[in-house]
Amino acid sequence: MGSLFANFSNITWQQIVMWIIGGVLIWLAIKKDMEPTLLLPIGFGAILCNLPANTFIGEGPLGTLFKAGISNELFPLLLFIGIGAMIDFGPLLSNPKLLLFGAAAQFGIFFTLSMATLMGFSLTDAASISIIGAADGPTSIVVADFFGSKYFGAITVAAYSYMALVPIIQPPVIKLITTKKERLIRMDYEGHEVSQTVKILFPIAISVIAGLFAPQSAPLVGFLMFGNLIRECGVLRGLSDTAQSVLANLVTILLGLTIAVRMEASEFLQIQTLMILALGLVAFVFDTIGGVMFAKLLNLFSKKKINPMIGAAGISAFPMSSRVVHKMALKEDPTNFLLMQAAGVNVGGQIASVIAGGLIMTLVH
Amino acid sequence: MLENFIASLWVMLWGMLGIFIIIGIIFICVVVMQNIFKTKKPKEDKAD
Repeated sequence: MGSLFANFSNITWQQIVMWIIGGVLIWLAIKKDMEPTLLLPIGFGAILCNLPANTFIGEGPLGTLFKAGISNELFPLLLFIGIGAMIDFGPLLSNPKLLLFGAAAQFGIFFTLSMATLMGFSLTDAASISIIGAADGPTSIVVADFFGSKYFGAITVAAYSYMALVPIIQPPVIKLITTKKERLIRMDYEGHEVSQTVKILFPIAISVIAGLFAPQSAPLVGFLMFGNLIRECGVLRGLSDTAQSVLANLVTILLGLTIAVRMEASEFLQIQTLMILALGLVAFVFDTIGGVMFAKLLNLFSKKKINPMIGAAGISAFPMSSRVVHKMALKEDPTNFLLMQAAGVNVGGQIASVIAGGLIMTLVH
Repeated sequence: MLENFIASLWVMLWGMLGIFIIIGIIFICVVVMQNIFKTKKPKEDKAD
C-alpha cells in the first residue's frame, strides 16, 4: 500500500506551479482560442514533463522525440514546408515594394537584442530571446535551438503567446504613433496580374539569394520556399494539400508536445522567464513601430501617400496582423479597404522574419 | 554587459542593413521577373 503513495513524496511546489502553468496554457488555447494548435500540446506536455519521477524526458518518449526532431531542427523545418504551401505570395508579387515594409518591421528583433544584453543576458541568449520579435514560432525554435539557449521553453511559449495577442498589442501602438489624418489615408490597390512563371521562379530565386547572403537562413528559407513551390507549380496538388493539412498538423502535434521537454520546473521557473516575457512584448511593440515609422519616412519623399498603418503588418503573424490593420482602417473610415495592401506586407514580413532569423544566426555565431 | 551591448549594436546595424540589402535584391529580382514574364493579355476580338 505504501508503494502506491510513494511517488507523492517526490512532488515539489515547483512542479505544482508548472501544472498550473500548463493548465493556464490549455485554458488559453480552449477558452480564448489563443494559438490552440500549439499552446494546448505545450500546456499538456508541461504537465507531463513535470510529473514526479516521470519517464517522459531523458531517454523517454518525449526526450527521444526532442533529440530526433527539435535538437536537430527537423520538426520546425518540416512545419515550414506546410506553412510555405499555405502562403499565397500573389498580393506581394503584384506589388513587390510591399516587401520593404517587411524588412523594416524586423526592427523589434534587433532592438530587443540590445535590450536583452542590457538586462544581463549573454549575447547568444539575447539573440535567442530577440527572435521572439520574428512573430514566427518555428523560426524562434530554430534560432533558440541553434544557440542552445537554456531559455528555450520560455522563448517558445512567449513567441506563440504574443503571436496570438497581436490583435491586442498592435492597435494601441499604431494609434500612439499615427495621427487620425494618417490613418485616414486611402491607398489605391496597384496590384498587377502575376504570371505563373513568376510564381514558380519566386521561391527558387529567394532560396538562392537568402542562401548566398545569409547561409544560416538557407534551411529555413529553403523549406518554406519548397512548400510554396509545390503549391505554385500546378502539378503537385496532392503534395500541396498534404503539406498544408496532414504534414502541418502531424508536425504541430509532435512539436507542441515535445517543446515541453524544455519546460521542466528547474529550467522554467526563473526570474529570467518573466524578463523574457517582457522582452517579447518589447519586440512586438518595436516591430510595429519600425514598420509604421518606415512608412512615415517614405511618405516624406513620396507623392502618393502611404497609410502608415500597413507598415505594422510587416510582422510574420499571418493573417492576424493584416486583419488588425484592415479593421483599424475600416474603423476610421468604413470605405477605406487596406486588406490587400496589408496582406502583401504581411507575407513580405514572413519572408523577412525568416531572413532576419538567419542573419541573427550568421552575425552572432 | 557593456561588451555584449556594444556587440549587439553592431549586430543591429549589420542586421538591419543586411535585411534591407537582401530584401532589396529580392525586390529587384521580382521586378525583373515581372517584366520578363508578363501575363499575356487575351487578344481582343476584331469587330466584325
